[in-house]
Amino acid sequence: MKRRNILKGSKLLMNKPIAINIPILARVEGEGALDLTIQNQAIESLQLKIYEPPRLFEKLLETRSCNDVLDIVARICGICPVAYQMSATHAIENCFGIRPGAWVREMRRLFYCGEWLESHSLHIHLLAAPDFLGFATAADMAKHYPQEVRRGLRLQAYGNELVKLFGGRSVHPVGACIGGFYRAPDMDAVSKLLTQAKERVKDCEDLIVWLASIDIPDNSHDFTCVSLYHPSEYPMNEGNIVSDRGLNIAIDQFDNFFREFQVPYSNALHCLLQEKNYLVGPIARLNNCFGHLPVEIHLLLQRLNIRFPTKNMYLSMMARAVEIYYAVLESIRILENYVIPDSSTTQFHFSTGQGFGCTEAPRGMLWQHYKIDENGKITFARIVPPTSQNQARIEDDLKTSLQQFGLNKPADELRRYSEMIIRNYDPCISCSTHFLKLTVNHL
Amino acid sequence: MIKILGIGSPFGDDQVGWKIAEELMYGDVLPCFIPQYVQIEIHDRPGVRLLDIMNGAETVFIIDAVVSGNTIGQLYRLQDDEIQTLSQILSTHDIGIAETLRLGRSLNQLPNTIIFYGVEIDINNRVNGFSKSIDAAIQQIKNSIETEIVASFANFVARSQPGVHPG
Repeated sequence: MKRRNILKGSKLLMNKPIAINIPILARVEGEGALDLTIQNQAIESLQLKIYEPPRLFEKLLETRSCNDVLDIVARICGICPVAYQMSATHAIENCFGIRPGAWVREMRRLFYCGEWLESHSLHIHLLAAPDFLGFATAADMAKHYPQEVRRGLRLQAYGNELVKLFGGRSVHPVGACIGGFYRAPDMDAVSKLLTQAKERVKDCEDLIVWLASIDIPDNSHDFTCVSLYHPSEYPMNEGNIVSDRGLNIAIDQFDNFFREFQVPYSNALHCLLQEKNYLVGPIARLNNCFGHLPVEIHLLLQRLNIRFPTKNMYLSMMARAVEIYYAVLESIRILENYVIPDSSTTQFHFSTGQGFGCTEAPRGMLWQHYKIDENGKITFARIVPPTSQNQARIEDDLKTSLQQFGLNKPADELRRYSEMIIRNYDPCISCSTHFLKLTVNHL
Repeated sequence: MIKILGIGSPFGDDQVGWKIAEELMYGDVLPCFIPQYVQIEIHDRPGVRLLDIMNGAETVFIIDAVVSGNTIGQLYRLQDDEIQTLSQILSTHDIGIAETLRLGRSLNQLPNTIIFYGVEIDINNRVNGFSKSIDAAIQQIKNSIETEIVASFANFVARSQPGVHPG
């Protein structure tokens, strides 16, 4: 089979006007398009169009009992339901003044490890790696890299099992509730998962070594990285919102620094930090919180000469692999210390007010805000998912990367390259509509 | 081992794969083969987990809803390589079956035989009941799968007892 590495490019087409249309961007979650107009070898306009219909979840939540919220928001996304549940429960608990104990806090981290493993393994092996290795599909790549793909599926399967441990099932889990979990896993199930987790450590190391062997060009841009930051741990459920340019705010200060707004061509809101685009997700987290990774990961990366912080978005797969390794090690730590609690949840009483929740979804920071009345009914809900926050950054990346790539390349190459740039962000369009067909017009 | 997998979601016509799996499980024919020879499971959009789910089976029946613009209630039966045409027909769980089976083939990780049964559904029916023409399709697919499984066991028995010839 002939492989075409997009990054290597091919012959140029000089001064030949062409029009490109990509009806739907493949290998992303949801439906979107890209419209690109090129004139005199310069990009005149570039619009990432998320046309998946608005899903109106925020409005659907109004008048519902706060007890229903976690099961409803889990339906926003089939890939990151845990993230939606975690940000929601933290927001509601913030409103009611609940502070779940240490056991719940640890189990939420374990639950989140499962989702990072599922989502990152899927993105690396089935969505992004085929682009970097020059294959049209994951199935084509699997013929040449069967062991690597099987390893990815093993890591994903371990993540599925972790989510299932608390959620009852790995898709749209139902086990989380305000204050904790409906039930505590039994020791037998925990013990079996701990054995699985230890078997996956070598897979994590081999994955990073494999990715380090792939020739990845430098595609560094200047951008701001935003994530949660916790003083003593790699961020998942808690922390302040920070940037690598000095921002450090409590999560309830979000609206004072970030502005969400509608653009006419997209059903997903854009979001800017002090009027500038920014990045959320694995690279942003690693850049801001690299020091919190365990020593085993630091030593491996040092041996392979892989350095963070980085502004090379092509290292997105590596960032995900690092977080996969982290999630496996973190899950081992939590599973080894597991005890059956007196209660898996925290009792609470409804109280009127508002609450904020912000956690780190696989694709980046996910912020939620709720207002609740005296009967525990939701009167206002706002959800800011990571893909909407990354939209402006993706557009900016495309403008810079396409210029560097060469706008006079054949239409098919421009299309494939644009898709690769977008897929590299692992956008979740279903989440953000609340994603690609590409039209390129050479004028 | 034969596995029957009902794929779907809990909404409207999209439940059809689950419903047929349930009808087979509680019907008159297959329970005597369960669980030694036949396993029946339902799954909500399994994605690549389908490879794990099929693991250990020699034959897998996959039952799912299909949206292709054909008449509601239209039946489909595709086997092995024919299932690749699914990406054109578009199962409602399109990121699941066709792409996952292509991946499984690349990894030599597929059962000997995969048979796909599909029913054209009305994607706009999101209420609890099924569209009118779906009910008949459920019975037809149930009967077809029962007939196929009974025939395969009859052939197996005939092959393992050389002196006995059916009919």
